[in-house]
Amino acid sequence: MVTTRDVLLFAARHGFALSPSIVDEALATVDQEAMIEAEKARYEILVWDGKSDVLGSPPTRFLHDKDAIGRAAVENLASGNAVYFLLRDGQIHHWQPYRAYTPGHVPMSHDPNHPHHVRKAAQEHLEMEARHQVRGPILEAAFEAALRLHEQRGVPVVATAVPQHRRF
Amino acid sequence: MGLESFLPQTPQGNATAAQVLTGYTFSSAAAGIGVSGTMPNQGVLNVPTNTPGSFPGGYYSRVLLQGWLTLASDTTARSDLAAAYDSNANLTYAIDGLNGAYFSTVTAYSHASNTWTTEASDTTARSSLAAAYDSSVSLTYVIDGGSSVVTGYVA
Repeated sequence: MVTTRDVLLFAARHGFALSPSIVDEALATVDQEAMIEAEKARYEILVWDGKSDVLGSPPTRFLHDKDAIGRAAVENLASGNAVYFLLRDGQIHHWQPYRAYTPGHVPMSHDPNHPHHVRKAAQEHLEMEARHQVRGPILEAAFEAALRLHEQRGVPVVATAVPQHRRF
Repeated sequence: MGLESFLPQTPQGNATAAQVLTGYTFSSAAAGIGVSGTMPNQGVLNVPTNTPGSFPGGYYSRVLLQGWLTLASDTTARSDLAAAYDSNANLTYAIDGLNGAYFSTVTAYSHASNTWTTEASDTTARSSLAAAYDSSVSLTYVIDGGSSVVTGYVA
């Protein structure tokens, strides 16, 4: 979830110092959960058998020895492990031959009882990805709403130069 | 010397005129004897990237791609990130960054597949950092970025 602090940081990096209370109010007008749900609806999980074409691309596009991801995919499929694609709007968004966000290139299983079950792992990845994707639009929407509230209430927006590395 | 050496030879092979360069003659069972090739020699082809279109048929000695290629978009929009190329894994990493909040997300680009894969997250969410790959130890160092933390990533 985007917080007031996130919007303040976003505004500061654009050279504006906004009122925290106004940002609070502005952020409340943005339905973050609805935006996240709409984003999630754009995704599809494709657990791949390693043999079929993927959206017109042959398996050799993904299974090869040219890089660590291709090699990991070959090894994982040969060992009976699972791999998946996250599709967004019907296009390949992520190609994931091991568990996302997890150290050690952890393979995934087809077994629903396995801690690294491919569908559970892919769903978690999808949820995280959708939240990442909507951060920008939520920040923009809240920022614009805050600017309008500043204007409506006659509260001046202070233009400021903020060092890039400043943390709130 | 046998009698067969005095008999007319029948050409062998299946080449056609369209498969032989202009300016050369050839003989084959498919085309006959002393046939002239018709394939144009186009020389070197310079192709501006991202320019749709077709090019004349024929033989090209080299094809040179020029300009920028649009590749698969990074899956995580962010600013002030770092990038490093891991020559052992043959992957390019996009590391951490900022999009309202600090990210610890690491994504890897595969040139071979033109795809992005989510890697293990950095231990520290940060932006305006630096990254460098050390091939002698196969480690990607992720350095500072609003902190003095240095992490090393092994693919």
